[in-house]
Amino acid sequence: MSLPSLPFEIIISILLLLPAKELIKFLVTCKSWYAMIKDQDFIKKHFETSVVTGKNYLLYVPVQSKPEKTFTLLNAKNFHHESELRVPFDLPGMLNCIVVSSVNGLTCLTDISCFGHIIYLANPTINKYLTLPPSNIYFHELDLQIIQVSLGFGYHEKTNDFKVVRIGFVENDCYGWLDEEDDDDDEEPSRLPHGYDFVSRAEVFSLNTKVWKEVKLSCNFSYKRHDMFSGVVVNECLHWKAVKSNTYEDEMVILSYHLGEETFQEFECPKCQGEGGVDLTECIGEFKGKLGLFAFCAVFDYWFGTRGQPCHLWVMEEYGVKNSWTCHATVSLGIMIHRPLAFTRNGEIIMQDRFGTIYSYDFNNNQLLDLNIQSEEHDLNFVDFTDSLVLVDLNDKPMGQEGATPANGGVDFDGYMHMEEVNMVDKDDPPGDTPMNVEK
Amino acid sequence: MAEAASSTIEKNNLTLKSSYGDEFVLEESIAIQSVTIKNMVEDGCSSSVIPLSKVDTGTLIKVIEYMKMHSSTSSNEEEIQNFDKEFVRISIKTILNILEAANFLDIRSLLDLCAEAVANRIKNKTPEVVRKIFNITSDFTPEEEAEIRNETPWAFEGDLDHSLD
Repeated sequence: MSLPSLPFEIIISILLLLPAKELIKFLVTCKSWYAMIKDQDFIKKHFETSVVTGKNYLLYVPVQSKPEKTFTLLNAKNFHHESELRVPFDLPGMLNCIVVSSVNGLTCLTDISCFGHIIYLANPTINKYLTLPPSNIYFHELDLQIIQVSLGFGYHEKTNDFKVVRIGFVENDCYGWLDEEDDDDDEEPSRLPHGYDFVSRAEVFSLNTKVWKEVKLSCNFSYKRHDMFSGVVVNECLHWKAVKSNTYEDEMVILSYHLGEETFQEFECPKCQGEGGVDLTECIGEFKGKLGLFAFCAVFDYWFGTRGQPCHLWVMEEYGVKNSWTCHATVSLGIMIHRPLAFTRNGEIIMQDRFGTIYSYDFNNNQLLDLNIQSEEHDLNFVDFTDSLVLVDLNDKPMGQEGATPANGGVDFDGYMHMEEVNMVDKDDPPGDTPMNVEK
Repeated sequence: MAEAASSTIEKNNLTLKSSYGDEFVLEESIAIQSVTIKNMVEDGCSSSVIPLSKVDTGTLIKVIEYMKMHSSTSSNEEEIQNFDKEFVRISIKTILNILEAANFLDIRSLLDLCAEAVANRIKNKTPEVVRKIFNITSDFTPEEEAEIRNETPWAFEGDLDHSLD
């Protein structure tokens, strides 16, 4: 092996500044470059450098009916259209993919038609993806239809691990609904799984171990409503907004999951009320490293006309301390906000108005910007995106060929699907070898 | 004690000697942007000539030019940015030499500037050209290389740059 004339640490400092696609090209340079580019520490340093040097984008995921889906990368600073990225696998016949979240270039995807059932972790920059193995606790897609599924995806820096959290909630009125369904479905009694005990259960997939592991829940783990998916990570914890049904009135809370300690917790929310005591719609996100809550009146927006409904940004100044919720800003944007879509890294909120126009509002300089994206669809996402090498050490699959097999095998609009058909796409873990019993 | 010394340090001059034996006199306050030189000064080597056996004359001239600009109090941020932009408009080989010197002299900002310049310049180049630039001989067999390339054909698409500079 010929030694480069430059000290290797200088080579590393140069390579860290290259986009992931360039590094894939330079894998063939020599064995030492190859080993370095696939090294876990280098991969971590590389995405950390990407974040600092501004190689971050906003990923816009429009509704697409074609089997091959593309993401649009917007410049995170000015929202200009930068490029298109192809989702590294096909979803033939499927309605649309939902981006649960994206962190350090790794994007967690699921499909609307089997939400939370088939989950992919993909790095579209380098055309790599992994199909998650079947659930250890839900043996049937039907399980996931009966219960309400919530997903979460986050990165835990201390362990350099990416984790997918799947919670199967039993909602407050689930039993009644089930009885009804059972009566209608007399011809097909076998559709209901036997011996299913109907309690909320949660499991976590770790990219480091590549297996699901069940997380213990307290016995009163039940919510009336909750966010379907979240990537809001603050203070090592993932967060979902949820509504608890109390005796007298519903109470909004924030459910958190600690990515390191693997425990759930519940926080109280600030008491937000609109003018005249109307109910507000809230969404949570990370605002400058803190937990943020954006609240506005979605139902009566026409009351406010062209002046737009007032909206509020609350920030939890001290993590986990209920009394530290502070109303950071109250503004009227002059648009009829229909729904918020995302908090960005730069302290903006992306939202959609009643007419489908997408705006960003910057809380630093109070600027409202029309992103020139029009969509009346509901199933679109915006997530932060970073140029990254994550999954480069997974064995390659040609784009859209063998890689599409699990999705092909999984499509069945009878709503009936066997878990065995969903396999890991990692050559190192041959299909069917997925461990069912997971180490504690 | 450090404060009392600083007034004299500003007026002190240092002599830097390149690997070719050329000597350059530089104000100590400018030269100590290099952590290596700063440590030498603090260890009491400042009175003598500082030999930089790993830095050739051409490279040392560039490094001194950089240090002078970056310690100048009269230039504003924009001027410095423009200087930096012009500074790296040189051959990749020369930037690599400066990088090596900056690494040895421990001048963080110069290292970052040059590393970024090299990264920008090797973007879109072929692996063959990059091997030449970094003086690397491939230790992959042709079969191994073909296999790696076949795994990611998309990375080699488009018009790649075959030029050395």
